[in-house]
Amino acid sequence: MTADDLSRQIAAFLKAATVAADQLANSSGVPLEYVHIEEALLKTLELDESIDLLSKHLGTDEIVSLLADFDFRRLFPETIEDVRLDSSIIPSKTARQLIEVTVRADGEVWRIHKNDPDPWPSNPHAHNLQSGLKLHLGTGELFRKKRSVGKISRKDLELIRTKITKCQLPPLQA
Amino acid sequence: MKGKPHEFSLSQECAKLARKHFARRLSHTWHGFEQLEYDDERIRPKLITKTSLVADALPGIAMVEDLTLAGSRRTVGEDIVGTAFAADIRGYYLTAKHVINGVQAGALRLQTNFQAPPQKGYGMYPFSVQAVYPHPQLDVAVLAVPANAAKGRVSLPLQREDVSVGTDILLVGYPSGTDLIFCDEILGPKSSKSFSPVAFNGIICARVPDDIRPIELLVYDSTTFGGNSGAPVISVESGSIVGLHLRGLENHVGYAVPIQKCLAFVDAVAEAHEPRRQQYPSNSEHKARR
Repeated sequence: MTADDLSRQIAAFLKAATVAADQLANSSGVPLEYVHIEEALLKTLELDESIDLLSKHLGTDEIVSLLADFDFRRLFPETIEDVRLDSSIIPSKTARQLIEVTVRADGEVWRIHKNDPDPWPSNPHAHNLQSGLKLHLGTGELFRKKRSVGKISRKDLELIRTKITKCQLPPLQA
Repeated sequence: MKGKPHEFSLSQECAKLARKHFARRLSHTWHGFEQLEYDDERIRPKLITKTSLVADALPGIAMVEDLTLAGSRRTVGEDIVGTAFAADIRGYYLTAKHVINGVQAGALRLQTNFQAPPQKGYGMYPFSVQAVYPHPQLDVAVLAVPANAAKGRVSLPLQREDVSVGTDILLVGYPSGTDLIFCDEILGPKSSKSFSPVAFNGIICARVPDDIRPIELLVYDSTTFGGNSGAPVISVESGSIVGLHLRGLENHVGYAVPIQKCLAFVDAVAEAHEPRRQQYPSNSEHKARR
C-alpha cells in the first residue's frame, strides 16, 4: 500500500468513525468521540492494532451496526484510587517501552479502576501509568497487554497491597 | 540611508545597492552592516539564530497535562505528561500518541508559558482539549483545541521536504523528568516552581527504520527527558519543524517521526472534526465549568 492509499484510508475511517460517534452518542446517551469508537471496534472485532481496522473498510452504517449493543460505559472506568510510591517497584530488568511520557518526576503511580473494562490479569488489578504495565495484585506478575514481562518481589507486592484501601483485593497467591 | 552617521564609510548609493542585493548575506557575514537603518522594514535582514527560533516557536509549544494526576497538593507543572505543538491554525496540536493513551479528552489540558503575537511575553495560558485523534499506525496524535487557542501560535512552518543527516536541530519542550523544571530542592520545598521550557540542540545523525512500524525515524544526538515526548524537532537551517519527538535516552540519542508523515493526518482530522466543532464549549465556557 502506498503512503497516499494509507492516507486516503485513514481519512475515510476518521470521517466514518466520527459520524458514527455522534449517532451512537445519541442512542447510548454516552458522550462519544472518535477515540471511543476506535477502542470499541478493537474490542468487538478482537483486533490488537488500530491499523488493522483500516483494512476492514468500515463505513458509518457498518460501525453503528457493529457497536449497536456495545456497552460504552466500559470505556469510562471510574478510578478507585491512585497509589503513589516513592521509588519504583518494577524490577530494573523488566522490558520497558522506550517512551518518555512522565507521570511524576519523583516516584511511581499505580491506578486502580472500578468497573475496569478489562478485568484481567486480576480483579482488580493496578495500571502503572508510567510504563503501561498491568500488575496482578494476587501474584505480583507484570503484564504488557496479555504478555507476561516479569514479576515484582513479594515484599513490594505486600507494600502496594497495604496501600490499596478502597477495594477488596484478590487473595495473595504463592 | 537615513538616521545617524555610521562608523564605516559606505556611500548612500553603495548602501542602497547592498541593501537591495546583498542585505541578507551581508547581515550574516559583516557584523557592522546590522547597524544600517532600512526605509523598508520588509527587506530588513532577519538573522535566524537559535535564540530567535526558540522565541518564535515558544508560543506554539504547550505542556500536556493529565488533570487526573493532580494530587491533593496540586502543584503547577506536576501533571505534565508530555509536550504538544500547534500544527494547524484551525485549532490542532500534534503530540505523541503514548502521551495521551488512555486519558479522556476532558481530563487533558494544554498550557503554554508564552503569549502569541502581537502581545508576546510570559504568562500561563491554559486551554482545553475538545477531542483526541490517535493515528492508527504511528505514535502520533492530534489534539483538537478551541479554534482561537491556535491563533497566532503556528509560528514555524511544518517542513514538507525530507531532512538530511547532518542538519542542526533544536528540540524544545517541557521535560518534567528533569530538575530544570522543578527547582524546589534547591530553593526549598515551599518555593515557587520553575517550569521553564527547555531547549536541547543536536544534529540529525541518522535515519533508521522503526522497530515496529514501516517508517524511517530521525535520530539525533541530543539528550532528552521524560515529558519531551511530542516536542517539535526544529531545523536551525530552515527554521521549520522537521520532526515530532517520540522517545530517547538521557545523554544518548532521540528519535522522531518526520513531520511530513503527519501532515495528511492533521488535514484528515480537521476535515472530520470541523463539522462537529460547534458542539464543544469554547475555552472560556470550559474554564467557567471547571
